[in-house]
Amino acid sequence: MARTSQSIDAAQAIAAAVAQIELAVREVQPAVEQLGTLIDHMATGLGELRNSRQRDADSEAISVFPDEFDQAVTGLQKNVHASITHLQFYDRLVQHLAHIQDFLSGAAGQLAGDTDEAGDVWGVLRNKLRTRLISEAQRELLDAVLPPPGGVQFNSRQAREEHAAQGTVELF
Amino acid sequence: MTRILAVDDSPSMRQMVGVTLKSAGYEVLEACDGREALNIAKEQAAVDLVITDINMPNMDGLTLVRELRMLPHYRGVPLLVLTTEASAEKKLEGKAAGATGWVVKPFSPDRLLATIARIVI
Repeated sequence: MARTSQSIDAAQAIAAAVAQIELAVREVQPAVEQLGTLIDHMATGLGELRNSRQRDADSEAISVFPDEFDQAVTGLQKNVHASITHLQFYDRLVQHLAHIQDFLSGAAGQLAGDTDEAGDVWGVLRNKLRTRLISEAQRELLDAVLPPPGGVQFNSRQAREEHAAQGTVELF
Repeated sequence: MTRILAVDDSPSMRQMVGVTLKSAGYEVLEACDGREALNIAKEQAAVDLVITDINMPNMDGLTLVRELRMLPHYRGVPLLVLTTEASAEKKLEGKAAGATGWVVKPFSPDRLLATIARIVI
């Protein structure tokens, strides 16, 4: 690709966006790690609470006739499990942003004329991103905003089904 | 104690899987990709269950499942795939590779533990 002043400006703008995404993820990482550690400590503490209780009482009676203590521990356990589920959305976000970063870096490289690749380099970049995206909803959004040359048939049902499948378990 | 190998390139996911499993009394080994998991599987004496992500560097999860199924002592070990992928095509690919089951992220700890209790003897 022939380098022009505009394409170099565009490449620099994209490179700046990539750097900002990287910084945003890096800045939030320690807090999220801390959150994970806190959940870990809470889960460990709950296990110790249950064990100390069971040493002092008939465990069978506790399971059949839970008192306020047992009900409180069970409630806290549910909250810890819900925290584990919700924290996983952070992981999805980081993965999604990493793929966008790579895509943008590739685009900036093309605009700056850093690569000698010939052929449909934009199509290759797009397809690489599409392959790496982690959900049908993300791929559908890419197809809508940046469709492949031959066009695309939308399958929003598939994306809805995928969303509904979150958390499901299927044994073969 | 039942020993579970958790494979994911994301440290936070490994941590969440680990917290869930340890809270239920399981021993947890961790690997950051398929290659490391395969090395652990070859070197460690006994793993009762493997839970693996799909999209990972070096060796992806479905390749790991295929490689594990070729090891004589892993033919009967349950292999659970834990992934954001939920398409029927991917699930079929996992089943053909030799996976025992498919869990879609974000996972529910209660459901994951109930599933493990069903498949681990």
